[in-house]
Amino acid sequence: MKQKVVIFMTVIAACISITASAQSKLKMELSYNVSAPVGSFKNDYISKTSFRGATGEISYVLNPKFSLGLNSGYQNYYEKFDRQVYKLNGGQTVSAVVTNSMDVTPVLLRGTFYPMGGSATAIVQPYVSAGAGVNLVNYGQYLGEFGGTEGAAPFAAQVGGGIQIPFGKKIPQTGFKLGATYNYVNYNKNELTKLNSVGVNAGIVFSLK
Amino acid sequence: MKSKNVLWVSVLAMVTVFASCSKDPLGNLTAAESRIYITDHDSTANYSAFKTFSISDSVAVINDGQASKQLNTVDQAFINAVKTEMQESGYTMVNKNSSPDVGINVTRIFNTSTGVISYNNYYGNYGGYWDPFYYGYGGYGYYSPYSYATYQIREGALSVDMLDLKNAATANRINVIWTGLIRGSGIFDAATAPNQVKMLFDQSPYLKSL
Repeated sequence: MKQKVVIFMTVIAACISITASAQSKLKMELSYNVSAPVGSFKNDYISKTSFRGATGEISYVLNPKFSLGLNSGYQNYYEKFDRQVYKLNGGQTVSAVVTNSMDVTPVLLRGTFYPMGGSATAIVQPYVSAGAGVNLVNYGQYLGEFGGTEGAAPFAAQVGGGIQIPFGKKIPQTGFKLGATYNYVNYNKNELTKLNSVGVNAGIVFSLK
Repeated sequence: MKSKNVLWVSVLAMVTVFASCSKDPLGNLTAAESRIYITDHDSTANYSAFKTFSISDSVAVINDGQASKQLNTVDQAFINAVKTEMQESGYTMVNKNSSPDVGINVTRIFNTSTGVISYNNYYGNYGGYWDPFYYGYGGYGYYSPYSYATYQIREGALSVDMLDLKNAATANRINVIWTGLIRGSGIFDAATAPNQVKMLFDQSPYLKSL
């Protein structure tokens, strides 16, 4: 068992030292993100697609096919409902314009796999990604001008895929990126079960150092 | 080193741009949308058993717990609007001396809350958004010994209450059997008073004298 660990560590160390001699180890991604709520998030809270979002990632290139990074960003969801009459507990009735808002800041550890990462001639590099971490969410609900916000940090996971179109020689570190993600957020409060969403993103990837 | 600067500048730029892009829930409301209408009632009351009503000739103003009677043009507009809605619901207005079945009171409620807010010396970073060079003293820093401010919020609400006078003698008290409360921006407005009162009655379909 110990031997296996030693071998594993040696392989990892070797991988890192090999990539260390390559051109660059750190890359950064900046993307514009459009996100559509799905499931309970869409049906019970906000049905409108959010065009106010961005993501960023700083990742370490382990080898030409695989990178591991810290992913974060910001997405603001908002929907204002026309005036409606709501029945509350007891005999109480409230007529109000309800505004729902949700700010989401993901903090994810994400791995990205480029199956053609070794090829220097490919014009289009497909990729798949998977990540997990927390989402810092700020739930807001207002009846007219009365209401407030409430923060939480539930577990979140994400899978994604897309293409990267490299430019320059530093494949796959530099290029345009176009992709989609499915986001799972384990948020079960305020009559919501999960805060899942589908995102479409477009951005650039470039090397650091 | 350079790329590190690029990194931080781009991260800061992104945070600024996207934070300002987010929709402000309160900033996207008109005065009419900001208002909420809350009604509550006694579910055991039989509203169709009441036939006549009387309404107070002035409005009670409860200002931080102190009550007084007042009548301005806005108050009159609300009283008239309530009269109209009651009559449309089938109730007959009578003089308060003719033993009406229900009485209607209109009340303005004001609450003032005060507090202290701490700003944690925002001047420490002030040079970042308001360069001292603006005043012709480039290179100087700002100094402010003040780190707090007091604020005062005065919130107003209007309530319309229906009192059970018919059964007051048997109940040994005057029960409030229906209440409507209006809160929000610009509620004390004679022009919108009829519409605001209509909202309260529209969401209370049981208020019918048959």
